[in-house]
Amino acid sequence: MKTNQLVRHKRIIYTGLEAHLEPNEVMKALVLWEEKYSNQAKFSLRYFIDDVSKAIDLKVCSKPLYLSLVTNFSKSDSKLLPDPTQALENFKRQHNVNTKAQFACPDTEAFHILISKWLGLLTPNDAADIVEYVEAKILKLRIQGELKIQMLSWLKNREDSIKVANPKTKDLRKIINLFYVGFCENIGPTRADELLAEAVTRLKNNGGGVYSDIFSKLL
Amino acid sequence: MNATFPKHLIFLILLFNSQNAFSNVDALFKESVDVVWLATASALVFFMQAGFALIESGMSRAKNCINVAMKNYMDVCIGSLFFWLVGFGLMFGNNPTGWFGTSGFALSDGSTWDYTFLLFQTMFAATAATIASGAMAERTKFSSYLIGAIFITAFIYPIFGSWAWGSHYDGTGWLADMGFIDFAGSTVVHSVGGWCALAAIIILGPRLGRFDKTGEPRDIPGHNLNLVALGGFILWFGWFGFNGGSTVGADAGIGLINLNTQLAASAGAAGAMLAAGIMRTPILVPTIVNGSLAGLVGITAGCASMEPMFAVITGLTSGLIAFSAATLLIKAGLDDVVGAVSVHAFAGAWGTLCAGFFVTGDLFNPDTIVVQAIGVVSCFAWAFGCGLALFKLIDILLGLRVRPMHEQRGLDYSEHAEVAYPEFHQNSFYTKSNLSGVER
Repeated sequence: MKTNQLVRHKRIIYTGLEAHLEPNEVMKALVLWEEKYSNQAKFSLRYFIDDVSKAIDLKVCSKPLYLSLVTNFSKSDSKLLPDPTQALENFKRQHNVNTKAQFACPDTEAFHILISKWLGLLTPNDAADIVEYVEAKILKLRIQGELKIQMLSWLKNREDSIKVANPKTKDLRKIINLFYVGFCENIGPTRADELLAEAVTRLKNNGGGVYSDIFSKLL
Repeated sequence: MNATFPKHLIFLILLFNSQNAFSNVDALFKESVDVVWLATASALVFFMQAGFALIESGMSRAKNCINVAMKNYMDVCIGSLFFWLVGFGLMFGNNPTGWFGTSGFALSDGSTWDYTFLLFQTMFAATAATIASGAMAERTKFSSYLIGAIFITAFIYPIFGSWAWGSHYDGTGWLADMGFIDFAGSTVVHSVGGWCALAAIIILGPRLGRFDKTGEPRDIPGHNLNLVALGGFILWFGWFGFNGGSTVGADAGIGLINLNTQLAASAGAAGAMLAAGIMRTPILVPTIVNGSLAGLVGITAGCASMEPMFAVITGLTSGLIAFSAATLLIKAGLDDVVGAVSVHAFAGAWGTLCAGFFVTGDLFNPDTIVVQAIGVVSCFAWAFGCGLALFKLIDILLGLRVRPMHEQRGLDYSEHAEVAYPEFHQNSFYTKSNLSGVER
């Protein structure tokens, strides 16, 4: 997500929360948002509100809070409160909280190392062909919009992680299946099956055993 | 007794009555023997289902082999019910128009012979339906396939059968009336099934990755060639009931019929081997098994009406035809997993023409050949046309093909929650232990 977009989202959340929560609670909720939801699409707001309810023992009903946040998305910048970044940094310093946007979740990590290993078993040319195939097809997949964008970025730049917090497992599964189809079309289904099995086996044998259950969910 | 009654008259009366009694016993005995033979032949034809299941399962990958076997198992079950309910009446009921039968639906008040005949014909209907399953393997939805099988056994197969084989009761079919020769069903059973299979694979499309970007085929080897060979033997064995039973009675002609069957199957395998040699391709198990099956399909139409020499020619050329047709289908980008279209549709059509060429005592009669050609063409038009409409409709309404995720996981798991070889799975992530955590 671009910086100015991120700032606008932060202001939207801040404006929405400020109308319903105590200043201290607003800051705690903002820390939570920054940590887990800042890189997610706006329809993850419901999960954010649920998390806020659990984290700060909300005294108000969550529905008006949710509606307030949703409504703020349509407001112009002039009607939003100013960027709370400085206030949030002060709050974190005071309370000794050290957070950054958190993308690491076991599903995403397992997904990432699996795709990397699977592609790594191919010749560079074949791998490039399959990545090209996935790039061309991923936009048509019915998955979380943010995940699509982050996957495209990952495919282009091969970053160390895929920056989406809490993606849906079924969405990751769909992407793996898209890779599988790409493997089948480029190197044939028999080889695709062999390499998928080999990638999983190698990962398990080289310390990826902790992901065993997640591989089962993803595949 | 009256002493005046002439003794010679008494003798004549006794003799006459005993002849009547003997002829009644003869008829009863004949019917019993016919029933025993036809019921036995029915069992042999039923056993062919096991052959189909083994061949199709063996030629599929391990992750799909149970699905193929299940399709074979269920289509004979559902096909039997629908053939009894609708198909038999359409095929063998009173046929005043020559186009379809109008009685005998859900047969329940028939004679012993009606029941025996229905049993035998039910096995034929199941054979016609099961042919498509192998061609459509590894990417077809189980439920959609079964709906297709129902329509084949209840509608497509019986209607054509009524044209070619006429009625069990009154009337006859228009093709039968023209003198069409198809003794045991090269066209009626095998081509009908084969053309439906062709329609199905056109609608389905090839398996993932079957052809590369340039259209060149990629091999997707079956998981167990021993099953393929065993399936071939079982089909061959069952064919003695398929052709021999089509005398519809214990008949002295069965010897020639089954000899022709044996010779044509052997020649078919030889023909396929010859074709592989000419094309300089390896002699593969499926090629040889399909060659012998092509010989069997080819001789089915004329096994009762040609001399053994011509049975050999029919079988040999059927093997060559099946090999060439398989190559042609691949060039056309069609993915027939087991070669059902080339073996059943093409070899069936060729065998039906051979039945016209080689009629004993009436070789190469142009009138007969024209009738045979009309039968072959009308079979293609009917079965392929109906098959195309049927599978397109199923595709639109229910979806014919499984999702790519199911192709990745394999249909054994995605359709049946099974794994065929839990302890011996190779080259696949989808083992029994891994699957316990998979969300379906």
